[in-house]
Amino acid sequence: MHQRSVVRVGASLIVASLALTACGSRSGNDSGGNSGGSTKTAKIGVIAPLSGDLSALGLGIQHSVELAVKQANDSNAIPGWKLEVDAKDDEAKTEPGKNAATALASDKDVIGVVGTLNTSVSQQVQPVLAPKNIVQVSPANTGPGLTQGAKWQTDPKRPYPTYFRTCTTDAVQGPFAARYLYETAKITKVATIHDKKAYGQGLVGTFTEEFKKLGGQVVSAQTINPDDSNYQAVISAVKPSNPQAVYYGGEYPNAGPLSQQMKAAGLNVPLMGGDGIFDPKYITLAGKTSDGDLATSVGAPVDSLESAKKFVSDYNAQNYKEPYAAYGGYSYDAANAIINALKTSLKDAKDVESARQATVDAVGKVSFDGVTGKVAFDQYGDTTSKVLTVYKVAGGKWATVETKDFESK
Amino acid sequence: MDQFLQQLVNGLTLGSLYALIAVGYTVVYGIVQLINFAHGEVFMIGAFGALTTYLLFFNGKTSVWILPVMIVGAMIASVGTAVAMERVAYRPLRNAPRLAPLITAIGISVFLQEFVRLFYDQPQWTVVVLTGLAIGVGYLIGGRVAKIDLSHPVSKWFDRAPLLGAAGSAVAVWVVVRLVNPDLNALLIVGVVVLGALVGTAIGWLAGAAVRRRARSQTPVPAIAAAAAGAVVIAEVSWVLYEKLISNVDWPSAKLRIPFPQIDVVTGTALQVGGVTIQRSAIFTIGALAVCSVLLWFFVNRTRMGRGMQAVSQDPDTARLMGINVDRIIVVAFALGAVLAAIAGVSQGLQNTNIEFRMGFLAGLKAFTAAVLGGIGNIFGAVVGGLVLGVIEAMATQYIPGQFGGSTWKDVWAFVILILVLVFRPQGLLGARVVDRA
Repeated sequence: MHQRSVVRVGASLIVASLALTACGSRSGNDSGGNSGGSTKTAKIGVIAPLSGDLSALGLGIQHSVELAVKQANDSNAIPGWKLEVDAKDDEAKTEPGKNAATALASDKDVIGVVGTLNTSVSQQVQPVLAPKNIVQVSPANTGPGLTQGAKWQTDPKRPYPTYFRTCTTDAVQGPFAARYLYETAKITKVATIHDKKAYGQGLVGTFTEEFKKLGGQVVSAQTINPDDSNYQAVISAVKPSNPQAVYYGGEYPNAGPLSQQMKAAGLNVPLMGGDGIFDPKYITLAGKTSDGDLATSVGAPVDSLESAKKFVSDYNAQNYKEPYAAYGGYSYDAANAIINALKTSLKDAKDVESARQATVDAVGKVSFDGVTGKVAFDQYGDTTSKVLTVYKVAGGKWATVETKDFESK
Repeated sequence: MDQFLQQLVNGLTLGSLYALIAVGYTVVYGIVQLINFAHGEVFMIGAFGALTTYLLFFNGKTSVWILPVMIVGAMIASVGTAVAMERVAYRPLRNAPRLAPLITAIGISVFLQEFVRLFYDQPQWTVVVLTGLAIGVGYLIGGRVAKIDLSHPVSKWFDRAPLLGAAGSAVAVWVVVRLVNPDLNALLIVGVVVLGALVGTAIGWLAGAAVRRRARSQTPVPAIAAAAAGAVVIAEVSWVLYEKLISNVDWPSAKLRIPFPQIDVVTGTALQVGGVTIQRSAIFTIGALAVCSVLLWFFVNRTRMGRGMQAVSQDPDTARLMGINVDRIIVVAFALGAVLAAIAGVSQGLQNTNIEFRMGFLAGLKAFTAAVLGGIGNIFGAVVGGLVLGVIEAMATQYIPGQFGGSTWKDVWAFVILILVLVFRPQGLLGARVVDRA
């Protein structure tokens, strides 16, 4: 018995040391092989939740990147170089995300990373990749602070020059919802509720600011606890102010029941939220009374875009086990942004490490027509395309209401 | 004024829920001086039991007569859990230091939460449970036929060996044959059942022969045969139940919140009384608390069992000398708490329209607070404490202005009141002053 545990400890030590040294030894072998051959290898990392509750989204990201890389290799987009995908699981948690980033950063063949899904994970990944000049392009982070710093509302400052993203941010999503409610739906009195988490609070903050600027009235501002499942007290506090709609900042596990309880309590107005509630599960939780509830989400619906048809058919042709999910198009564009940059940065490069800085610079300058629209980045690393879509629950399904370009006023 | 009445209604609704759960804490504490931190999970399992009953028999229907059946299903689930918990985890620790059962309670709580989270969408585990149940039932049948008191304190394992061996090996033979070939026709199934019974009887008899020298009494062969046959028949019946009923339902994963079925009459559009909106589920909850309180009062004060409970809570040792079966009273206390928790689980499901594996944690904590507020050990203290806590929470949301108001701070105010009550009246609102209670 004692011996067995010694063996076990020994085995895990060996595995751990292998894992730590693996990157070094593998790239050593690679460079040995490369000196003889004509093609060199560059890796594009993926950091996304490949297991757990959000794995459907994460695996969609992984496969979309794989598709982009495969097409680049097939068309020999970068002469003399072969691209590889190295996907790491972050379990949608910060610690595994940081470990994944550290593993990729210590691999000298990694030229860029696509990921992450969660804003909170990116906050851990950014500082690991930045010192190594590895470019990171996220397909899904919507927290404005990632590109414009913690004080993004008053004093925007880019914290990491290596970070870019292909989706729009909450700084745009909130105002977009405000304009839809005020200008299109002709609603002047809203109540806001958020769950006090970074995402919800930010969303409600930007929404409120824009809605007031337009001339609307926020008649009640309340919060809930994310752990609560009974919202009667909040609903009773909101109801007497007679709002015409409720804007909710948070995710569907709270928003669904909130909508149902709101309507059961006689507050028969639509609930509107951000991409956090844009999920079929919202409708199952909110029940039959959820008809008319609204959500905004970043970008145009991928399956409706002309430019996306080819991506969808290519993706399906590859027979991946999981669908491309909500962020497939953005991941494909993110990978292509890196690949486009590599065309210039890797052309005359000796090895990957020396080409990293040039890649970061080149990603900042890319401009091409991607699956989700024009792909280009502004001075903060945010996408210049600010397309958002309003969805509405109709007959137990999310239906598209309108897709619009957000113009800053 | 409308706003005040509205929040009063909200508070009473919330408070009724707390009160129903709090009774479970207080009854158990009053009798064994144990804070059963797993009681919140009993409440959660009650809600899941109701959902399970609904999915098994009424999926998609909404008529109101389903509700009583769901409540019965919820009670079976939570009483079963609570009684099993008492038997397996707390009874062996009856004379252990006070800390041991407390830690055990937390362990059980985590176990139950994770069990529901991981296995609710995978009904295969019920096969294991049903097999165990088959062995247990066979054992009891055998004991009944043999006229042995198997739970008598002087019974040892070798008194039970023949019956357990018979039931266990009969089920084992059945499992082996059934697993090798799951699609047997009816005649062969009868054959397997008979074979299992025969082999079980033989093994049981051998086990009896092996321990003959040390056994207190000889177990007769008919009893062994009855145990084996009973076990294998129950195994077959439960397998049919599993195949025809349990495995045909598409169980939702408990890793996310699960929508709770909406039943006519008790859910739906709210009622308007003047300016006050009253939810139908709120009426159900408050009504349930009222009915339960009356029945509880009757049970505790007017029945033999209830008076036995009072006696045990005052002095367990003397109560035992007076001929009260203290073990049974303790089981009843756990079951009583579980019944009310099951009703609370159903009404929480109806009110919040969804349930999840974590719902027991916060509700349990609040209910425990309510029990302490009202005076732990006092059943009506728990009811009053629950209502007071609920009303404070609702009023704090409405009437405390500014930074410290709103639903963000409602829990803070609830606990501030708790602290104040404990400072100035440590025994709780309705608790009697007792010297040695901890």
